[in-house]
Amino acid sequence: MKLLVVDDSSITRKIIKAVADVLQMEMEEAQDGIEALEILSKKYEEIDLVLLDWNMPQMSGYEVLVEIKSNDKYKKLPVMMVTTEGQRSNIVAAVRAGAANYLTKPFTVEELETKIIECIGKEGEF
Amino acid sequence: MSAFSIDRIGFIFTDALAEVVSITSGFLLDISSLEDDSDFNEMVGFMSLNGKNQGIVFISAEEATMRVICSFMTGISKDEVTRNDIEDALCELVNMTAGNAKLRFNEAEQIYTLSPPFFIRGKDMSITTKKRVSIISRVLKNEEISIKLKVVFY
Repeated sequence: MKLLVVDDSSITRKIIKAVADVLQMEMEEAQDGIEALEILSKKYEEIDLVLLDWNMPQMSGYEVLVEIKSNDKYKKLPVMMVTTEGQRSNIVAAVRAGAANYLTKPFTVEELETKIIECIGKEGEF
Repeated sequence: MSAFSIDRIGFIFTDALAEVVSITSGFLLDISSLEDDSDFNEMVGFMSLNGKNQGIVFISAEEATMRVICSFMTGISKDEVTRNDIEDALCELVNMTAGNAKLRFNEAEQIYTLSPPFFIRGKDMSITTKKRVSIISRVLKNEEISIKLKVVFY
């Protein structure tokens, strides 16, 4: 199992890496949407879940989400938004664009673990 | 709906910061007012706030405090925390605090927009202004860490 974590905050990527280690998941990292789409174009078959920040330089997480969901190669890949943008309008927009789940920062490690497992949908494998 | 009072906005940001620190690093902090409302710690994260009130939210801390917070946030030892981690963590604290506060404002139909977070570092930094401003200053601390919060309205 492998996560692709897209966040311009290195500290957030480290927090998520610690959770990925607990869940025995591998992790790819991207610090912006452009880097994330490059990784996906080459390795989409290896990725099981994308964790996506909303506010990033270059492309917003929402734009990356729309891009992912419009690409036939990886539109079925589950995407979870992990962001400080907790307003209802953002959540609705993300779900309408195809996000599988939504987690508002700050989050506890337990909340992140639970949401990842919900997205992958295979709790028994961990 | 009328704008929140400055005291109310100050309370919201203070409570938001305390909650963010508690969730991300597990520290419970005592809150008190700062007598000297102009000075900062050596590292400052800040962002502007625009709505019915205009202001700037500053969160500052010494490197030692941010090193401890980073360590608790990530689970890596204090010695392995890098300078980049520390700066990034302070920006994320500002980002999460402002996002948390924004949600509380929105729930009360007070719409604010926030700039991206910025970071500056230096010694003996303080606020000076050529306009009359209101400053709310709080210190959030326990035995291990101390963080200053300032919300300046103009």
